[in-house]
Amino acid sequence: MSESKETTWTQHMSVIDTADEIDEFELDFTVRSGPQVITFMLGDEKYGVDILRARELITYPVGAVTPVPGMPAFIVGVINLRGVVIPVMDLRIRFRLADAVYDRYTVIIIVEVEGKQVGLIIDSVSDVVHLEEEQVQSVEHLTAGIDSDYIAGVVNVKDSMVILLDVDHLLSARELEALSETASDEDNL
Amino acid sequence: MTTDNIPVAEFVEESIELLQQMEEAALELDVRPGDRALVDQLFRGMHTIKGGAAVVMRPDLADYAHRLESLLDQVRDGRVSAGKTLISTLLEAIDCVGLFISGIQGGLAVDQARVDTSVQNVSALAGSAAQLPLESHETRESVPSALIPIASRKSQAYLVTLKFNPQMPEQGGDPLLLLKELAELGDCVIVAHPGNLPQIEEFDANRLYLWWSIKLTTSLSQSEIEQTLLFFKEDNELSVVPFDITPEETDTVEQAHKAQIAQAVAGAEDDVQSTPVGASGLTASVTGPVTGFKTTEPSNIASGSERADGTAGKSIRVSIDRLERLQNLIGETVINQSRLIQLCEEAERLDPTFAGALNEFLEENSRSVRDLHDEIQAVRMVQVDTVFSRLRRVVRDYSVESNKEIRLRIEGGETELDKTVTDQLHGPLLHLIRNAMDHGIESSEERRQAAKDTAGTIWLRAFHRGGHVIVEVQDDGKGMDVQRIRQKGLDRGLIDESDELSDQQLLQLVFRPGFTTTDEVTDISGRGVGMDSVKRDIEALLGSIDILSEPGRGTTLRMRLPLTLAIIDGMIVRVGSLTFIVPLLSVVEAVRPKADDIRKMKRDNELVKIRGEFLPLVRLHRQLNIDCEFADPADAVLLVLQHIDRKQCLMVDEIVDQRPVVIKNLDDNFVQVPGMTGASIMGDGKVSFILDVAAIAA
Repeated sequence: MSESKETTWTQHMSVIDTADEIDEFELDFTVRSGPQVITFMLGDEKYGVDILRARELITYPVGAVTPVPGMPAFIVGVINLRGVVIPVMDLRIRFRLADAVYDRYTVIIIVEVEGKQVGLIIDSVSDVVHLEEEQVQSVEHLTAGIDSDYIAGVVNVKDSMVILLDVDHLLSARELEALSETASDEDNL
Repeated sequence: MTTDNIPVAEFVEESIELLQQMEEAALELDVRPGDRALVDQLFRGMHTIKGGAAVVMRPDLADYAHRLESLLDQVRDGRVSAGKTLISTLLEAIDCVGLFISGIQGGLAVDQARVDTSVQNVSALAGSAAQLPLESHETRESVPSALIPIASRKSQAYLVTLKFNPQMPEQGGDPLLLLKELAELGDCVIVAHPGNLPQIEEFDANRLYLWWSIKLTTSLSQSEIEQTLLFFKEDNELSVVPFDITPEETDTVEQAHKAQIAQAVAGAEDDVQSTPVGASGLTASVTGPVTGFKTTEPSNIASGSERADGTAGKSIRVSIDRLERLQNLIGETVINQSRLIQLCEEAERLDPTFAGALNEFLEENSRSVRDLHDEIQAVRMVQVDTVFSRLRRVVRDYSVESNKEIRLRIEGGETELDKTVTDQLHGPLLHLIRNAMDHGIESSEERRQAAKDTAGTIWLRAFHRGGHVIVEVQDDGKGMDVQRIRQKGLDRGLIDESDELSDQQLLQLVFRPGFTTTDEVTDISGRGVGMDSVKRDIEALLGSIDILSEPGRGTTLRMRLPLTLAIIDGMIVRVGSLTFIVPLLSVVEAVRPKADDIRKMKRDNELVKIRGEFLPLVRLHRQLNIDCEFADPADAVLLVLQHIDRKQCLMVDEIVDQRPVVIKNLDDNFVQVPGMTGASIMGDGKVSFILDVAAIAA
């Protein structure tokens, strides 16, 4: 599935004038003022989150995640982060990727949304990269497999595609509430 | 125009606090009319507000506060006596200032009619003296007996030159602020000099090209004017010199400049309109000869230093959020400590000598950790008096409006409760006090006939008892009519004719929803919410309420409140692999039923027979859709839970422990989880949910 997406993206890129493309690359080497993104792996795919939203990285506390009854499956549970109760979401389940095995090498990124902290389970952290706004490709017409709502765009970094996540949309309280309602509706059926 | 430099939030916060203190002082003055210290306190408070109002550019408020200050000054000099009328006027005035403050806070307009009425009342009391300008009190020290009208104090003209740093607007400064402040000092003729204006191509909207010269006619001294400039002194060329030009010349200067000034102000007004504070006040005071708010001392400086002398060093303000974070961190330390103890036990097996040394240190450390925990808890505690004293006003107002003479006696106001509890106590207490005044205390006439003191008394009391705080509202009124309650109970269908109820049981009826003993609705109480809502509020605070009443002697409402909301006694239960916390307050008993105690009803409803009573059975694992160890109630444990007057049985696998737990809000970082009121962190660092007994009952 990820391969087909990559093809579509390459096709999209080829439309851009070659001269412009070269210009942009030169800019990329000299200017370091664009937004920074922390990238991480989920299965075979690379994702990115605005670094200003990422508060910290912690290892997955094996055996200390409390499941939350009545919540959608991708809410794995809650953890205690220095005395604060924080929900943890499994992006693999959310994006309907293959189920992951949680072990002590699993990483949780704590991100902040609407002043609330939420943990995202990921496979491993890759890198921190600088972006130029114009590098980011819109994905409105590239919706294969995952809902484009959570995706701010895709970007090419060092010859691999990074899917930029819109954490606000992914984790807003409204969204979670709506989802928990749907989950309980499903239970009732 | 930027408002960044105007400390509006600080002013609002400080004023609210001052008003609270002033209200208390005014009420005290009602009791002890001769107490000069109280008048002084009121005067100082009003003075600070006046100064602050000028800083946040609210000349209307400053003017109003000034009138009150003058009135208080006359009270201080003994020219106005501190009688009932004065107290009422003052209290109303304090409310009006409160209106101004909340107006500034919320960006709303004030109720001008109410302020006008208050101004009339103040003026009536103060007589003509209140109309005098501000000098009346400033010169008081030197000339205490006679008030000097403004005309007789020598006005002098000064030339004020303002050459601001061209970068000032970029740095967020605003020359208009100072111009306006100067305009308030006296009659101002302001001239803007556009000499430095560049060609239009070079014009930078963020730079300041103008400079100003001002002819200021005021009774203030040169040094006083310089004090006003003090805030702007840095980086700018500002000067004040006596204005030594012949009158004819000034007149022409004035003529020539007035048009310019009007123009300048009209232009500036667009900027000003965009900010909510003092827009109209500014225009009024700069264009025409300044009226009403003619002069002011350099009040901002004065109030600033006053504050420094008064409270600095004794206490600091800390936001509740920060306190909670601190509390979380300390909670975490406590948990780490217990983990360390576990590790220490393991070390014992490996190296007993090392473990011994470690243990010694651990014990020492756990003492400090415990102290730390207690200290942070203590920081959250506030005196219950903060709520009590707010009710004194209510009683006084009622006493004045009605024909009942009522005293409020406060006892144990120094008792401390968690801030969250005290904050939420005001509503229920207000309700109980109003009830006592309205239905409890009889009219003076009735009281005389009953051979009682004509003045009724309400006691507001707080004290510690067994890890809880008891708050009582007691009145010496006519008491509850038990027979009437019984009749009402019958009418409302709350009880049956055949029920044999003790007086105490009948009294409990008042807490039932929809029960109210008086038919008429008055302004004071009976707003459609009865004692049931009070009971609900108190229970929301994890407390309980009880009623005692003696015919002819009065009624006492007794509330039992926890010291803090942050900790509850919890019963820790296990279902499958998960642990949950049930508030111990709602657990009546724990039983293991026999198989034939379980009855099926209709399709899925199950009932359990416990002590001859059939109670609904709630299987927690089914409710939450989780795994359990024992599917048969006969193997499991049943907790009998009580919520209000509903009982039911909650089926769990086992009871693990029973201990106090610290409540964590879930929706701080999450959404409300159905069926859970919150969560807590267990000794092993894991999170457990606290069950919502009310939701289970539903």
